[in-house]
Amino acid sequence: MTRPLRPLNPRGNLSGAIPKWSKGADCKSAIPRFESGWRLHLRPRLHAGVVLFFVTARQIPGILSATPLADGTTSRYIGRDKEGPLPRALRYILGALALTPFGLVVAGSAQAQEPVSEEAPQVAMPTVSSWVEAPFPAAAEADGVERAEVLLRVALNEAGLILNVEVIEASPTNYGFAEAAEAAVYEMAFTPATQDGEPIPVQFEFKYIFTNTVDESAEDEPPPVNLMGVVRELGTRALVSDAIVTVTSTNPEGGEQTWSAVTDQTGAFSFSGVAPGPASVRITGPEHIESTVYLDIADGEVTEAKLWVRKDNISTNEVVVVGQRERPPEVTRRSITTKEIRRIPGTFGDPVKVIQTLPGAARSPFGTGLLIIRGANPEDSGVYVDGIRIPLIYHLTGTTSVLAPDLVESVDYLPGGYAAGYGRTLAGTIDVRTTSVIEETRINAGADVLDAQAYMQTNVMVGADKDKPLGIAIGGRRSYIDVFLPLFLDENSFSIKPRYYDYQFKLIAPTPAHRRFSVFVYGFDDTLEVSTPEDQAQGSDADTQGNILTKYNSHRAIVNWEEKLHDRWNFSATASIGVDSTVFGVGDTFTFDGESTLFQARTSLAFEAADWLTVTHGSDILTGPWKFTFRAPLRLEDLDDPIGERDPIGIEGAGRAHYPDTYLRFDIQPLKDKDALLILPSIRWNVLRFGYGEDDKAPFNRMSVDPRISAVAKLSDAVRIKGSTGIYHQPPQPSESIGVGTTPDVGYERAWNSSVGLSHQINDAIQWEAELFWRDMSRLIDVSDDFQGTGTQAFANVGLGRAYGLEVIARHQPVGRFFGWVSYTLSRSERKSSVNANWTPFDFDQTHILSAQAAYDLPKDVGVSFQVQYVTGNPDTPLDAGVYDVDNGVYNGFRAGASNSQRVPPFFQTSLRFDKTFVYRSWELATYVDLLNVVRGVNPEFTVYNYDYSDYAYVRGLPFIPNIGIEAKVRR
Amino acid sequence: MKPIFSMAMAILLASCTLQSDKYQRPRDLAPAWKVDKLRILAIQAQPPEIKPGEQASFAALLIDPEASIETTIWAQCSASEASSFGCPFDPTALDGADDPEALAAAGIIGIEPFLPPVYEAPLDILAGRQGRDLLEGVNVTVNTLALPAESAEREEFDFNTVESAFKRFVVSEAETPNRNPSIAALEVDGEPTDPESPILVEPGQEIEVSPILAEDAIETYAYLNFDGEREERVEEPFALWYTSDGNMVEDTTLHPFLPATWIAPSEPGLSGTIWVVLKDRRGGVTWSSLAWQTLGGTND
Repeated sequence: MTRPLRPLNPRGNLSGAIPKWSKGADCKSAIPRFESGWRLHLRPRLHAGVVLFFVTARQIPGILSATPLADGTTSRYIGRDKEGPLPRALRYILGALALTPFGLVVAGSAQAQEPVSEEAPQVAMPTVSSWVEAPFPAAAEADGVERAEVLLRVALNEAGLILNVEVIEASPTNYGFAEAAEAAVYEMAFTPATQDGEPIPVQFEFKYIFTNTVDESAEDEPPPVNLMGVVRELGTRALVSDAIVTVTSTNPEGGEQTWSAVTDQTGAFSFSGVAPGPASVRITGPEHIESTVYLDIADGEVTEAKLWVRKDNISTNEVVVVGQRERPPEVTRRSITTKEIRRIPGTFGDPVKVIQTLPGAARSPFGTGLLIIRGANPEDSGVYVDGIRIPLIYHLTGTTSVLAPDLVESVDYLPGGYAAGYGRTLAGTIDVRTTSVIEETRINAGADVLDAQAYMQTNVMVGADKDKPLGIAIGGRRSYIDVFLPLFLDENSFSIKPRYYDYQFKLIAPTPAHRRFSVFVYGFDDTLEVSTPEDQAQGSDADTQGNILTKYNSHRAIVNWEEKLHDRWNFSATASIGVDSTVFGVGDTFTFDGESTLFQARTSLAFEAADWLTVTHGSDILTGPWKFTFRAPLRLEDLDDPIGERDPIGIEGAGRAHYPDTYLRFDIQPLKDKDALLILPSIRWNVLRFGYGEDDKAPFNRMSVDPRISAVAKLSDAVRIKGSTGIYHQPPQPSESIGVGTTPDVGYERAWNSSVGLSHQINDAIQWEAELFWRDMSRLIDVSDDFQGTGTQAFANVGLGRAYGLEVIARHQPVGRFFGWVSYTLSRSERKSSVNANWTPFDFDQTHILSAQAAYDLPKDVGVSFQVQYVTGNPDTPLDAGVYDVDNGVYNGFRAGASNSQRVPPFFQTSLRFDKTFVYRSWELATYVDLLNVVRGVNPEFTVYNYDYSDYAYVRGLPFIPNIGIEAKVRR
Repeated sequence: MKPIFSMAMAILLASCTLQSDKYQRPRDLAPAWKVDKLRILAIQAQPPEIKPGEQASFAALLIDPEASIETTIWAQCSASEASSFGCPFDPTALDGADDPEALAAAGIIGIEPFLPPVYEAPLDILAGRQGRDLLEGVNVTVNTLALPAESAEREEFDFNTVESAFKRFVVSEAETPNRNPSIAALEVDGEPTDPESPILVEPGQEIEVSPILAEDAIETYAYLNFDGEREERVEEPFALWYTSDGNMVEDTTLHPFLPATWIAPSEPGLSGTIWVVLKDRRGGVTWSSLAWQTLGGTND
């Protein structure tokens, strides 16, 4: 039998209670959902018929099956783990959906208790958008036939049009059931099937069931609603939609009756006609553990119930940060999620520290967080917060960054090859973005062995429009090492008192959709004090007795404004003012006190000149005054004369620095498929003007130009190749820009960075990426050979450098219960102090850097994670027995080999983390134990020699540190 | 509890360092205060500051437990010629040891025990300097090499067997040239000691050793500072402590907290020495020693 094709109404016929398949954005894509606002009133008996809808979908190894419940009114999901092993064939059967033509029964209670395999493409199966009832053959009714089944095979094209309907089998075969069902299906309308969002043709089996058990009461008015309520999630108090609520009660005749409903988007459900008396209510959320409560249904009244379900694993509540904010594309941008960040042992849950587990980042000594990226010096990489360059990202302890982890929305790690929007660096860039949307009210408070912190975010209604609240986030942290450490130290010995605090405050203004406006204020204050009892010598030098003090503090305000001016014009501006100060002192005679006030402004104006071309002009301005005071007990010239008389000196310096850089960037997507090819040529014009004194005299000016280009091309849906090359200039560091009695003669350092790479997305969860890089450095600033003290040039652009290597990362995204990644870097980085010198390994040259970390979510909100790291030892210069300098009281060791010609033993460490979250109705208590360096190697950081250099030992890395922490989270 | 206990034990066992004993720790390195091999602890110039044309003699506090030193060579050079290893020294210059002029040309000023080290400052050493620079003077560096018998024949020295040290002394026109400090006596726990006989201590006994300075040990001297202002300054001496055994709790003490604590070795019947080297920070130096014996054993 054939029927003419007809176009389908793409919206379908939504009248009646026809459930729809909807494709979610994640692993829940196979979960049947229902249109919002539906309240499903269930009846115990069928009026007309039930259709079981089986779809063959070999791409989705789902494990859904459909079996009628005892009373035949609903179906349920059979989980692989819940009901024992299923035949493999069943894994290829997707979906169980019972449809009724009159909105009486919904049996599609299928629920994905096990996420769809992350290895499968995301396939959305066709849905019945318009139901057609087949008439029950009169002859069969006359013969008393109560039930018949017809199995049909339906073929749809990409548009969802029916290509063919074929009867496979019918039971009974007579009475015309097959023809009636076939005709009805031909009249139905379906939405097309899609794979990864693209419509695809599909063929599936469709079982039409005829029943003739007429529910007499159906003709009557439905009984009134007598049980209603909402379902909320424990811990978060979030309203749970798509939860199945099943009520079982005993009817007056003594039999059991079951009602089911699915919660709407407000988490609400309601039932009518539930028999009064005790009833059990089973709640099954879409990602939740099934729970049962018992209610007493009142007679003649509406019983209201608040039901709670517990998420299968609470850690999935963590916000995924990737892609939350549109950012200009870069060829090599590695982003990580907060869920991943906070679970990696050894990072103290800090978003920025996780960067050091990514390829290209070398291991920093003692975990201090120095950014040593692709063989460059730590000062050659820059850190940005909301687009504003900041001088320091870590507290002095090196354990945590200066921002509250909860406030961090994303951390982008750009090891190289980035476009001209970022500058003044030779190597990598870290771009930390603070939260741009307050999605919920949340209060967090936590503590571990180092510090205690608190964070709160909420939305405040400031106008009539509820969709445009004022977002507020406040955070703070204070260490208490300085409080507790003295309790464990002898008061007559040295004492170390590290102390830090930080604070953050962010306002996100209520704005129309085309505008964003926010204000972010943050700051921190770090102090590290090493004190010595008065009667104990701290070395033999009289002028360096007393306490050693290091202080650093920074306070900064950042205002961000983004505006979509027109369909093709986008504008953004970020301005900030920050005050940074540094104090260092040894005793009373040696002190450095520096302060700078930096104004920074970034603007960008992007114009979509054509479908394939966007042109962005931007400015990146940094300017402000600086000043310092330096006091020392002796002049620089007297440093090498231990018996000379000392004259204390005091130097005061002040000046102004200006870096008004601009850039131009072109985003070219020349192919019809925009993702197929992206070419990013860009150019940056760097300007430096450095002035001295309050009148800004004797400045020196420098300029440089950075042409850069990068490209990424899609070879297939899963494979991309990329490459970049470009020039990067970096201005002298402040300390290099201050002449000692003369105007300095230093200029920009320069690097030519190139890379080529390949990335392969194996499936939704697993991807790998490999990249070759080359960095050629020149004009590096080094101490000048001509430096003879005051009046001579202390620094000169004489150094050369080169770094090259291979970076590989294989990553399992946080899909399902597992995530992790393995990164490996094979590299070589060398320096030479002048053209005629020999190449020597860079101080932090690490040939092999292997880092593996993974986490697994166990049931009951328990998680376990680990990290393993293996790194080649740093280069070292061998020294041998020395000569005693009697006046200084020290031996001077002879160099027994070339500079950095040997290496310390390799670094190896393993850390473990166990976490458990206790979930209560309105809050969660997260607890964790970090066992840092639980298995480790000797892990030498530095070589130390005995007094006469005849023997040596290694200063070892961090020891085993058990870190215990708790964090309470309250959500509203 | 058993599984938890087992897990805790497993973690404790695991929380260890692989190959922990393969490499030394810094605390395993021999401390500078422990003198158990050939060492030069101090060099004294007498006087420590001279005028052009004047002479200075030199002495070293050389500790030679094995009595292996056969020769001590002394050399001098100007500050500009000196490096962080002292004066450049050509061992072949010793071939002409019987020719004083050749030795002087090589900068050698003494070969002990044959030729006591003496340096005479050239009359023109301060030529061209005026005013404050003249009063400040110039540094001259003096090296000493303690050569065991087997090293004396070599053209290159192995500094694992040769002990070498250097010091600076001043040639100037200073109004109040520096003098070496002097230690009048050593006290133990506040009691004077007999320099001719060792102190007797219980094994493991902790004592406080104090250097009693001579009355004129701490000098007051004139100084013309960088701004041309005349200042009167007072020396701030410090002491370095050494011992052949036991434990020096402090190896550096500063005036006015010069006493140091020493803990005797726990073995009975041992004997040894404590040395204290006193420096005035201007090149002046002196030293003293204290012999000790632990009670018990054959010394009772």
